[in-house]
Amino acid sequence: MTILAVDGLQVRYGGYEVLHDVSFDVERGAFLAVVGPNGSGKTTLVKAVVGLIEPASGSVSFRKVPDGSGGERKATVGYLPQKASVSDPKFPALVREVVASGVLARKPHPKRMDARDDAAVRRVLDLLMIGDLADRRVGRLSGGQQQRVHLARALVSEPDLLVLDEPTGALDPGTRACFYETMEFINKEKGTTIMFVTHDLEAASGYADRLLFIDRRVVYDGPSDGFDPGSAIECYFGTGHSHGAACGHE
Amino acid sequence: MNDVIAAAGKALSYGFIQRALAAGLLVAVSCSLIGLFLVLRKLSLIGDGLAHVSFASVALALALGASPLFVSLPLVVLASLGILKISERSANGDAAIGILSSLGVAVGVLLASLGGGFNVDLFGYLFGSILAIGPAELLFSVIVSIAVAALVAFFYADLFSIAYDEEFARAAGVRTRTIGRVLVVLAASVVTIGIRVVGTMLVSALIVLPASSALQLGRSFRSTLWISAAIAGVSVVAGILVSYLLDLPAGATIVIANFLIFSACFAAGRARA
Repeated sequence: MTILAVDGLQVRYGGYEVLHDVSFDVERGAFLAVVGPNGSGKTTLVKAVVGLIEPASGSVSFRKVPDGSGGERKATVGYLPQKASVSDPKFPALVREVVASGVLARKPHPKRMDARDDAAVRRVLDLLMIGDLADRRVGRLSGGQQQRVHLARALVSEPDLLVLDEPTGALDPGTRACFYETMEFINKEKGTTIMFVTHDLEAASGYADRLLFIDRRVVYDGPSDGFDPGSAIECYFGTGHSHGAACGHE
Repeated sequence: MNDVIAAAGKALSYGFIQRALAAGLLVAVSCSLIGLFLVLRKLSLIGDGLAHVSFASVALALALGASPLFVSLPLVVLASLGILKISERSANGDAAIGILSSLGVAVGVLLASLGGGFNVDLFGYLFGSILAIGPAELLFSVIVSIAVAALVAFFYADLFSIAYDEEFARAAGVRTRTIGRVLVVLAASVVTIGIRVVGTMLVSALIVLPASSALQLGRSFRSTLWISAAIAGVSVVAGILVSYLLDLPAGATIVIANFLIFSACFAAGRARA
């Protein structure tokens, strides 16, 4: 079942075309990595997906998913920005306040936490094993702990699709592996569809089951274990080699 | 010591001191509530810029023989939205504040000059004259302060979310542009009522200092907001009483009280770190 459909997406900054005719679907339950060189439009793509950037043309549409009571509702998205951590370590925010903001952002005014929301915050903190940090200031936590807090904020509303932009960029290798394992757990055990941007090709092919290689347009879209960086680059530069479905967007 | 307490007690029995304390407390607390969001969003200077604009609006009101607070409120609100518009278009908020700030002072000086120079009334709005606040201005301050506090409570979750991480807030569906407008309009409102308390030259101190002090002590966001409001209240009470007892200008004394509290909080924050 498709929950996200991106069709003919074109994004321009001024006169510069950052994304050209990008099309792909995301199936429910997928673990999709978006990779590509610097300046290839990866961050632009996820920002367009979560609605932060208005495309020049094309569309991003979230499909309907079962609502658990026999009906259907539009798929929801949770987002972990590239620079989720506040730059000021003195920002006076407790972990539970930050995670609660993920619930409140989606509520109608007047936005107030109720018992169900409090329970959701506790549940997601426990899921990510940061329940004991609930009353700590976010700015005093390590980079890995902060990233978990912001992941909790994205997950607390139980989105159907979780979009993460370079979630491990500022983490050390050990913390990075731990973070990917957490995402894998969320995908496999909780069934949350995940789309994440990374520079780390090894992690992308190691954890994701599908890989989208872009460089302003889709260069490769297929299984992560079938991805050959060399072939993708050849395919992209049009050296005449055929790579079948992998180059289907060429 | 007993003499000081007796003199302070006597001061509290005067109607003009009671009015000054009531207006000062309400204005200072509402300034501090908005101030925390402005400081955290690195918009502290907007208070200063709007205060300079209010100088022009006060000069205009005095030239027209109208009430400076009633004339200033719509004009300063318009200026705040202008600053926001320029910032959004040029992505340079500092320049937008600088442009409107200098324009405000220039227009104010021109109007004062055309009106026969700086008279006592204009001087009172430049440096504040809280002890001379009348019942109508007190009522106006009460209404605006309550409205500001109510709106902060209503939009609290969105204001927090945007101050912490605007990109996430937008992606999660918070109407960040609308909330940004609400914040600058509230800032314009507290600047307007603040000019009677400490004057156009010092009103930004009511916005920046309590919030900066509270940031040294607060752990959670909510507690920081309460600490900021408490510091603002204590500064006003201390400032008004000291100014009365020592015959000093009230506005300047309130700001100095705020600064002394900030210094103590800063030292406490450094010691705790």
